[in-house]
Amino acid sequence: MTPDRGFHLTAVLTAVRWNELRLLLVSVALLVVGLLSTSIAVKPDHLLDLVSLRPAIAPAFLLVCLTVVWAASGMAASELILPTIAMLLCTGLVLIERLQVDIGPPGTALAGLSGRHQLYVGLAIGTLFTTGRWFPFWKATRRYKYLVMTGSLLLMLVTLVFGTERYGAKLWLEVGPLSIQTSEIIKLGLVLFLAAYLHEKGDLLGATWHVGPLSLPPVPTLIPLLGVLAISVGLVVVLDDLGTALLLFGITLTMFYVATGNGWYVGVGLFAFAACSWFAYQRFGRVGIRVANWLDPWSDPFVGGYQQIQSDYALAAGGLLGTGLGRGQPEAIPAVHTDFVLSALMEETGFVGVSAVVACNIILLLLGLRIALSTPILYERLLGVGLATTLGLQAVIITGGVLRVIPLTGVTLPFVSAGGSSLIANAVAAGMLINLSHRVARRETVL
Amino acid sequence: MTRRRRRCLTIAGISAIVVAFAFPDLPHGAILALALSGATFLAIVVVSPGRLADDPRRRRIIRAGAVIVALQVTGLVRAFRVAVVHPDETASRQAVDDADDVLTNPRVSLNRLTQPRGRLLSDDGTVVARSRDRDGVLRREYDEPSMYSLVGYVSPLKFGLSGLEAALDDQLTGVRSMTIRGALRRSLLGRPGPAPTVELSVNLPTQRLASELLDGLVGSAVLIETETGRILAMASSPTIDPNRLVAVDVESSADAQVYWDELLTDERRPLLSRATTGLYPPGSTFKVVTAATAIELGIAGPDSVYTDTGELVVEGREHIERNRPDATRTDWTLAEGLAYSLNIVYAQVGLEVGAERYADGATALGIGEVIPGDLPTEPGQVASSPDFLASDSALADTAFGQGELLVTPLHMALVATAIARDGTIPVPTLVDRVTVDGDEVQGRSTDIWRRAMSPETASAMDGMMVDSATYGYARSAAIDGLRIGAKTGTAESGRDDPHSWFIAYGSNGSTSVAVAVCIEFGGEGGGVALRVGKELLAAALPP
Repeated sequence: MTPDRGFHLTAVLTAVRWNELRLLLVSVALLVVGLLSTSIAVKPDHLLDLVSLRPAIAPAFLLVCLTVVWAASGMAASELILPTIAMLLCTGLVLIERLQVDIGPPGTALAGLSGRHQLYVGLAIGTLFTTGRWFPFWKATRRYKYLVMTGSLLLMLVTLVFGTERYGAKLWLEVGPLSIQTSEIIKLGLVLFLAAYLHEKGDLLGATWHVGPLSLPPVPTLIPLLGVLAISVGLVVVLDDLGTALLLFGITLTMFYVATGNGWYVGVGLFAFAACSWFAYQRFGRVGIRVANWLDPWSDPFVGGYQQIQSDYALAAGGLLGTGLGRGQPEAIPAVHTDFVLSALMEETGFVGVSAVVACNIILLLLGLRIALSTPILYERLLGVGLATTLGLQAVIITGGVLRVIPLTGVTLPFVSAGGSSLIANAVAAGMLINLSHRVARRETVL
Repeated sequence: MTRRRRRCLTIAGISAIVVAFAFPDLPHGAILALALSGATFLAIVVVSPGRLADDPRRRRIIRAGAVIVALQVTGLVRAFRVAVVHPDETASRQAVDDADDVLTNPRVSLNRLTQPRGRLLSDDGTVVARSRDRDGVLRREYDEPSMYSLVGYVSPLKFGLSGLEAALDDQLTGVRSMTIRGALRRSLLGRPGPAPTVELSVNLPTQRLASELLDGLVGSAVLIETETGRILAMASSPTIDPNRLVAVDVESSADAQVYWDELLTDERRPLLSRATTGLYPPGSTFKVVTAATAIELGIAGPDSVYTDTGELVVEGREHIERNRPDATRTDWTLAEGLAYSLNIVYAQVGLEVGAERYADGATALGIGEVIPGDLPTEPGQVASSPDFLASDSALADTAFGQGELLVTPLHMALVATAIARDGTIPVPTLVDRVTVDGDEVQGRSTDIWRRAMSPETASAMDGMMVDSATYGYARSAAIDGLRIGAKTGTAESGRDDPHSWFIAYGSNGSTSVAVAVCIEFGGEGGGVALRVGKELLAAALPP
């Protein structure tokens, strides 16, 4: 802790986060090997097409800079979180670059897909860098929790009125050249609000009064919960976005359960969600198609189930080790770059590749929960749980959907799928986790 | 510690339910549930760093995490099943819509163009289907026109697969005979193994004769070796030229489409494989089933006498008998009824048996059920619903082969087969063996499909069938030096010309074969169908 350590080589060497750096180099290696093998498969004549490595240089450089600057600034956070995220980001970069070859040749609507993705990954790394070490803005939002919630609600209303429709769902808000998927921001707002709210009212909510066998919390404290319910239902019914609704619901239930320990919240919540889903299933064709596809896509193979069947074909083509990057035909799946990147990954890297991505997601969830477990401050604990489950549940919803464990609902695979809003929002969530980890670790050393 | 163990057990139980829910089609669900529970347990251990505090919030956090991890692991188990355990089940699945458009896996189609596909041989080793390499693309070629209707086609880019090519796809691509070493070579090195060779039971001279005899007619013929159930000949007419449907490039695709549209608009429906999937009323050939049922039940014997005065009224409907050779005679035995195809005799037999027992008797012969074997078959029906037979009039019609009966020619050949042997029906087979590099990887199925009747009934029926071919209307089917049993059939087709049926079996002492022929709108059964069947019997049974 000498003030001039930056000027001494030995001091710099001790400050460097070696584990983080070494693990980051694994992701960089994955990026380089992935891009090279794609290029070899696509252009067999140019065995070493170094131009194809261009997209790898910037993220690799950014990641290494990030860990060095963090180390120099006295970062104390876990050294495992960033490499796990980097692994997912690099997988996404390789995959989108590879899909670009088949689904977005020059001159088509998706021609700039990979370039945009690289830009967003750069921005996401920048976001991780700043929120991971500095700007603990959750301290401010804790005070203004109702403002955060109202803001999120308003954002949803604005999207409802002014939103743009894509892939059959009205989720995007266009502001000038930018188009933002507002549900990603609402997701973060919800976690911040619930952490603050449950911290303040948790004991009250836990102290229940009884009606027969039912134990219920005081009615006024339930109003925000009902508000969240309303948002989710609104998303399902009006925006037709079952995926985000499921995610918001899952986050809310988990956080209520952790804060109050009242199983009734989970029970009643699940029942309410089941009822809403049933209503949506009966009422809206899109939801009905999704459920039918989940149960048996072959019941309507030419229209409704077509995409899911093509995805199943891709999954089956993968086998244990996959066909190799660039050697499969994931482009046979319509809109493969949005909901079905996992199928493309499965086809070309096999069960092993998918296991690796799922493992990264599980590790990320466990690391997040570990932070929550290690902090004694209730607010931070709730926040940690919220953020970790946000990332974990989102991964479950999309991988489960693609693999037909649950009906497919369109959310992105965190840090892998193309999509700027989702990349940045998830980077903010992960950044907050890293920052929490930093603070917890530093408190422990001080104590 | 006990609380922790209880918690882990609870989670393991929930995981097992999740797995059972997510994988209804899983054969080893229990094992996978165990694996999943184990993974969940591990996850809990990883999260709780050995100092699980008494703080209930920490416990809840761990529980919430365990649920998410369990869901993720469930997904992985599912992925493992789809990609590693049963990939071919998904990859080879296809669908056909009303307009005959086929949805297939594009990967499989492309693989068919590049990966070796086995040859099909007739019983003397003549190649009837092979893949030839033309500039890196494997083109399927068919050199034996008489086999066209049976072999079907492989049209990877356009029309999918049909006939034997579809039914034996797993054998021809080598998926069925894949060894672990072969599977590893294929998945790790991308090297497909040697293509298997499928040896068929089809006897080429007989098959050629069958297709010649059917030329110009619409119908089908099946010849089965009764001892073994091996199909010696199976032809359907009109036929298609599979070479014109192969279509491996743009130019041939356009030609193929033109030909395909022609086939679809041809009202004789050449794409139909009539012997196995053509459903017809069986007409008088079904009297064999009625007689067998009655004899099996002990209601009648070949010598039981029935009265046929030339007309019979059932539920107010009058049946007129035109088949009696002697209009002055009114008493006829069951055997004579079969030989002279007396409808009124058999209407009475059917009524005597009764609706329920009649339906059971037909089911004993497999009517209404899918015939197992190497080719997909249409099951046919005794009646569209069990209630139909409740009416006496309908039961009487059914008993002499009309009503709502629908059968395939293959099925009637199997009925004849059952009588020619001991009353059992063997699984009809087309594949004699499958070899890879000379080593046998699959032999002929020697299974018995079902027992249709007792050996005593079969022997009584044999006597009646031989009578029919001796003095009855099938007597022109008699061949010197052979023991022949036969029955003709004339089935109302809804048009002026009835369908012409003939079922028979014969033996020359060493070999025994059964035949069924059905010619659409061919007229009297004793005419064209009998002629085709007799020539096939003669060809298959050299004296």
